[in-house]
Amino acid sequence: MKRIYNLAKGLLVTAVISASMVSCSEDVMDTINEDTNHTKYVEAKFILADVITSTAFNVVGGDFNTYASSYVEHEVGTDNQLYRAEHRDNEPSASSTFNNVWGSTYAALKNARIAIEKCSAGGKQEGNQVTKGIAEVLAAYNSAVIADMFGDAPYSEAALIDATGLPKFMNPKIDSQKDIYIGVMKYLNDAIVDLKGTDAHGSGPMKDFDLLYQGDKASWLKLAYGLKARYTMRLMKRSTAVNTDMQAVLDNVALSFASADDQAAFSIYDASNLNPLFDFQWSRDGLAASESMSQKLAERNDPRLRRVFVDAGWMQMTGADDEAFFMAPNGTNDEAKYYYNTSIFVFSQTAPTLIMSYHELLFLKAEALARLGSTVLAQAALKDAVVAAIANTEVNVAAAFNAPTVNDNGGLTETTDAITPAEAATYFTTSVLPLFTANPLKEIMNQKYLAFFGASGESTECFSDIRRMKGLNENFVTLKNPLNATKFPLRCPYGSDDTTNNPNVITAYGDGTYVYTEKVWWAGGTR
Amino acid sequence: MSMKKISLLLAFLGFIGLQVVLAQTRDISGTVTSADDGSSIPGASVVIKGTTMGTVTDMDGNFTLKITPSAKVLMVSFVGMASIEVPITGSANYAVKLKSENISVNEVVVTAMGITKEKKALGYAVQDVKSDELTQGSNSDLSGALQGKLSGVEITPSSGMPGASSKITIRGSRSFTGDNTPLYVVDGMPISSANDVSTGNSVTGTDFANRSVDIDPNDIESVNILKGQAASALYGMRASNGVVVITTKSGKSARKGGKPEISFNSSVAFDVISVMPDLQKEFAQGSAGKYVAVNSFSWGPKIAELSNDAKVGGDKVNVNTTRDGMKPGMYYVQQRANAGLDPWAKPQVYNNADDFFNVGRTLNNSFNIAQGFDKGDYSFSLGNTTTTGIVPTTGMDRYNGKLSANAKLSENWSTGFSGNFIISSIDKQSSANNGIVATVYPAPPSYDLAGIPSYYKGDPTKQNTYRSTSGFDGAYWAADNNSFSEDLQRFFGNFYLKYSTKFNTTNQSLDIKFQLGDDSYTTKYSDLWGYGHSNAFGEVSHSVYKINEMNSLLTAVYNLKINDDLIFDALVGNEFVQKRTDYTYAYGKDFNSSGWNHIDNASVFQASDTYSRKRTVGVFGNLSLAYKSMLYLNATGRNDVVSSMPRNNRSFFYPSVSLGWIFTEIESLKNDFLTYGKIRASYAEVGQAGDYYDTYYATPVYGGGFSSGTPIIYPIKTDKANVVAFTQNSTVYDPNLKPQNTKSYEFGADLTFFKGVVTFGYTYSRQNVKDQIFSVPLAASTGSASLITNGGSIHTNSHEVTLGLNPINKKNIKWDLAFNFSKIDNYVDALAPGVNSIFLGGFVEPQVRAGIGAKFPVLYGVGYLRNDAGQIVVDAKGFPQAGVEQVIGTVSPDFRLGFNTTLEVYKFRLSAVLDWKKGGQMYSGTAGLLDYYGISQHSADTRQLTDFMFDKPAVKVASTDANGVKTYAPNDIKIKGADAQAYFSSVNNISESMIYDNSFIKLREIALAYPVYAKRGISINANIFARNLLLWSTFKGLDPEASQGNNNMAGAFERFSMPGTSSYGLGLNVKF
Repeated sequence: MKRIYNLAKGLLVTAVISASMVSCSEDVMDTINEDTNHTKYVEAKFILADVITSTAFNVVGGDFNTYASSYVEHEVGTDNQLYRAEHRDNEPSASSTFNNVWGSTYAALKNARIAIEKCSAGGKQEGNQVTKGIAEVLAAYNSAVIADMFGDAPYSEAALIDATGLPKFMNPKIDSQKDIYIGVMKYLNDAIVDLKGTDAHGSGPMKDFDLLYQGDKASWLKLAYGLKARYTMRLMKRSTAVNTDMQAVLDNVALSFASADDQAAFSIYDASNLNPLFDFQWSRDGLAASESMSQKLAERNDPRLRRVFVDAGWMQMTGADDEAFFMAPNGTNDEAKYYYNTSIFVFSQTAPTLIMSYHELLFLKAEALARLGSTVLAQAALKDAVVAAIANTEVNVAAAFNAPTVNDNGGLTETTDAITPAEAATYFTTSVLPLFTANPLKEIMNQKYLAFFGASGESTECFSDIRRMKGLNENFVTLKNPLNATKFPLRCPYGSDDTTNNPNVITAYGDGTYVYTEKVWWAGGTR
Repeated sequence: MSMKKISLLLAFLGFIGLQVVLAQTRDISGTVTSADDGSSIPGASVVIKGTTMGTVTDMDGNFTLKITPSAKVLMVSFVGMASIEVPITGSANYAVKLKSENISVNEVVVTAMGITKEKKALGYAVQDVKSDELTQGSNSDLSGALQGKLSGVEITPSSGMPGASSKITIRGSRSFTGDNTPLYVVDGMPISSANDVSTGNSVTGTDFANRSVDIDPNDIESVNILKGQAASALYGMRASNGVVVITTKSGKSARKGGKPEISFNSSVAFDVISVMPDLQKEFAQGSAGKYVAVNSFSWGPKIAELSNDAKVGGDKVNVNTTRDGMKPGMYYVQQRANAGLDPWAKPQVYNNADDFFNVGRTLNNSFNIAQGFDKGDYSFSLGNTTTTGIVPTTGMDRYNGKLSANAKLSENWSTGFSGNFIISSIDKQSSANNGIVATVYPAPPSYDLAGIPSYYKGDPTKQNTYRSTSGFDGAYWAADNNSFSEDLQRFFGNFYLKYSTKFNTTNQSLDIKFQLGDDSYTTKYSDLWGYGHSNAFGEVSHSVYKINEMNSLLTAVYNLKINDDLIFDALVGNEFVQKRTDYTYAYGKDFNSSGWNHIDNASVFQASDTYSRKRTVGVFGNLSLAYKSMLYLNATGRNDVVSSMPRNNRSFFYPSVSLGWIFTEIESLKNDFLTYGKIRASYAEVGQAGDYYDTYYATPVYGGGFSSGTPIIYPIKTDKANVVAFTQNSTVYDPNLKPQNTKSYEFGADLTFFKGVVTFGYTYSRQNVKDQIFSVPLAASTGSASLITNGGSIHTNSHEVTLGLNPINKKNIKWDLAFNFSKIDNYVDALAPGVNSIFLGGFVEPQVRAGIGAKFPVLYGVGYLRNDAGQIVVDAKGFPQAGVEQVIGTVSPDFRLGFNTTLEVYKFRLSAVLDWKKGGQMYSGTAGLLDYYGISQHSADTRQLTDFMFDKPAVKVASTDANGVKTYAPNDIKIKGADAQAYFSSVNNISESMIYDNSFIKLREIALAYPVYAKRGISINANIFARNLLLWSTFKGLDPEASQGNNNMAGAFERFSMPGTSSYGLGLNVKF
């Protein structure tokens, strides 16, 4: 009996001990499972800091720009993916090619929308109008990229989250570019209102978290007007009142950047944070110097020719007569690294990414004036634009010579003097002006094309310009890749994350060859 | 051998229950020997029939027993032998001979919760591997040592590198992206066996070991695999992937009293690369027939013609000869100049790959001392494995120590403990796309990779090799400057207290056991890319994982012998598991100066720290009923409450039931042909929980895509501030997450013919997995990347056959054969709505995926362009064209067949293990790239042909009518040999061209053992062995098992993976 009593006692004690350790009520389990390693709430400024970074590094300067540089012949793809893009072999139509940036763009749009909501009525930072305006500019920018690069695409149901943080729509429907652009313009108009307000909420303004303008709302306002100018010009083919719209471009330009100091330059790059074109080339060595680019510069006796190419031994090429001068022929090059010359810009480790540049604005001004028949004013605007563009070229060239990582590996050898503003002005007078006189619009667009050649991430915008001109039957810029006869990419294919997971996009993607046949809407296409 | 030990243990336990008798006694004595070979049988049970009085035989098979006049018959039994009854006569001395009976019948196995059962009593399939089988090939890696020895179990190694990961799955996969590896239970306590760090997409970086690498096979007594969910149901959620029950060597089986038993094992093995690709030795570096000094291609001129090269030839007037003078028969090598050597070299062929790989070496020593006493026992083991790999700087050093002891405190109480301590360090090198091998195989034969220093003269960190080092470090430079290590300290062990009683009855018993265990380890992973990596300033990361898993287990087992025909067993228990994971990460980038690759020298830093807890509380029960040693019914139930699930979705119940029927126990069915026959059936449900979190924000990470490093890193320094950013985490969690559920059915039969000459086992099992928890890829247009939710289902049909043959069983010649056949078909039935496939690893393209309707997993990527009839369409040049991305291969094999044999002739013991994998494909980027680079013999042969054709059946476009409808004709377009480079470049764009059938037959192990000395209690055995000695495979030039990834993509994908190895060695085993 005593034994049984002892046994029972032992069992009871054990049961009590284990029961106390074994506590498993929902509250206890909630405590155990609490995620103390992450924050569930952050202020808009933390979110927008990365929207700015991602927009600059991933969206503007990233894969769009890398592939577009081959399409528009700023560079020549000479290895692996870029070689195949150059040769129109699979890459331009494959859904995997732009998948990373497809995701980055929508993530940036989602985060911008989260920030807008936070700073809107009922949001946790209600009253922060300037922050909201900044978010709206960034939302507009990424929305426009989606329409420009992919055509009709998920938009109104895309990049939206519900109260728990989950996507509101798992399979966003496809919207027309027209509707996306209505959204873009609305964001910009809202931004223009908000950026004139204040950040009244206790959390305060963005300040240093604004990696573009350090919280200077006037600069953001100028960017908003600049973007309105850009997108108004973009939609010219769909305009019902071209002259009115060209005047609108000029009105917006007038309210935008007054100098290169105002431009939207993402300039945080250093030895550790890398200019995306440099990052690509330093990682992959996939780009070589473009023969057609060198020809265009040579035709104009352009001083940039002596500044912008280096040989395989990292010596700056003095010009087309340099004995090491060896350009990659567009579309017919061999797949070989360290074989052809490269542009100097692939070494521009610290060159800022220009979300929108001052020279672009001036080219928009010149184009609008030319289209309105104001040739004299257009000429003056073009001269400013060319001088500003060449100044930016020199910023990028200097970034290559001063690249910390390149210099640690021996560095580039500079063989020529920098182009001064005076030399640029002389170049305008002697070389550009006669061509302008012959065909103002053509030379404006050619100079804009040359201006976008660099490390500023402007090949993307150039790709849109080329397609816009095609839509207007104004093929001012002559591209030399013989494959363009049948296979000029008219857009980027949808990203594979949607071509595998979103039935709406799967249908639209098909086999991807539509990228060669279907113009985007603002270039005259239907989808 | 071990059978005897287990029986000794049983005998010993049985003896505890025997009672001492005092009155009117006389002594009898005797010996028990084997009727088969005359050897004495220690540990045999000798009991007076109708009583509980008896004894067990000593080490020499002798027994003495006091008997009363009423004792009439002795019952003598020993596991594996037929019991006999010996009438007690007036004699005081008895010589008893036992005959062996079919071994599988009474074999004892350790089942769930450490419950020892006779194998015949099980209603489901289990399979065990004993110590001597495990160590016959002297493999110091447990999973390697199990290969080919089990059915229903797939073991996927990654490479032959020291400490390389390998993946074990039992009866296929239940989770797409989660853990499919079994639970490891060592001496009754679950321990961690999975990898701390997943290789993720497995296209860059290094491999990461699984924690099962910590187990020393030399200390294992037996491994028992609980394959189905019915077998493992008592362990609950964690065991839905099956259980590997490991019993280590203990003192329980050691001889009682007297001297301790000491054994010492030592072996040395030499490793060489198992397969080398066939590389060309004729053409120099370059492209399009021209020499290019810095280039990854070998499409240059003939090596012999280099001295005639216009730009670098010493026979020609060019920049170099103008400067240095004519150099007949030589050519200018830029890299020699870079390194400060005479730049002029005679064109020559170099065997770069042969030069690079070393002969690896493994030294293995283990020591065990064990002793048994009347009231206890102890065992102490020490083991060390030191390995150097075939790739320079790689290796592993592992020390294992274990102490275990048991004590009987009183008639009712007993206690014991077991503690394991492990220290290991693994040195690795980078594998995969930009790994160290990526600059070895493709090194042009004209380039002196081993001879030309890998760095510039005067600048040891500036890389100098045949190709660009922007994304790929030169192999020798990498060995000198990059290092990757894993350092571990681990303790796991447990303590128990047990109360046993028979309630003073002969037909009841109760055992209550409380066991408290802990598995605690710290692993530090350091990845160092030296100054100069990717032509930049290097980076280093340290990840430290501190894992502690506490396990408390309380069980009560009640046994009631209702009558001679019916035995009832019941078990109830409670398990409490709490796991703490503490992770600290430090990262430094861009060393300020070369020469000191250390985090303190970095100029950019990042750090991270996470701490998480997870608690599982389980309550379980088991009821079993045995009728007449013929019918065995078993039912279990377990309820788990798991902290890591969302509120109100945490508690789950899972049942199982099994039935075994030994029909040969029916009197009328007893015969000498089919001497044992059992059919069994079981049903079980068990689930797996996920990890739920509320949506959160985190600092974004840049990298991937084209970047070879981390191009943007927070905080971003501006003039005024260090800016950090947060963004919504790209993975979001479903608040309605529920556990996934596996329902499984299993049917099988075990048959023995001619008393054990032939044994046959067959099991069919079907698993239906529903509501799988996985990371559902989202349309990126949602702005998020993935959702952790329930979605999808997968089912598995598995057929397992084990066949054992014992054709010769003579005193001096014994021959055993065993076959383990597995056919496991794992099909994906559904994924979450809208999802067609999910990504398991690989590149943007190609990759490994799970796709609906397909066997799991599949290879996905750019396929050949095909017409509507499915024919490959070549272009006007005769080249195949890239089509859409699609399923381009299936990974899962048709079947696997392991073959084991042991031949004993006199004292020689020859054993061999063969492993056959039939069917299944893998993506081999290496094979494709060697053609693309022009380094393979195949590419060199092709370029020398006048013309050739695309090597698969294909069609060309014959005509196109006005409506654009194409008609096709068989491909007859010949491609000029001179266009080979363009052809291989184009083909390289089509991932389907790199899909290979990787069926193989491997001679896994062959070993010859001989007892060189066996006298005066000392025995010395010597053995020689070889592993992975022979390989037959349709996939040439590379080891079909060398692959990338330690997760669910394992075995399917390779691109400059670390190679496999073959090993040769000898060992010595001393016991006294």
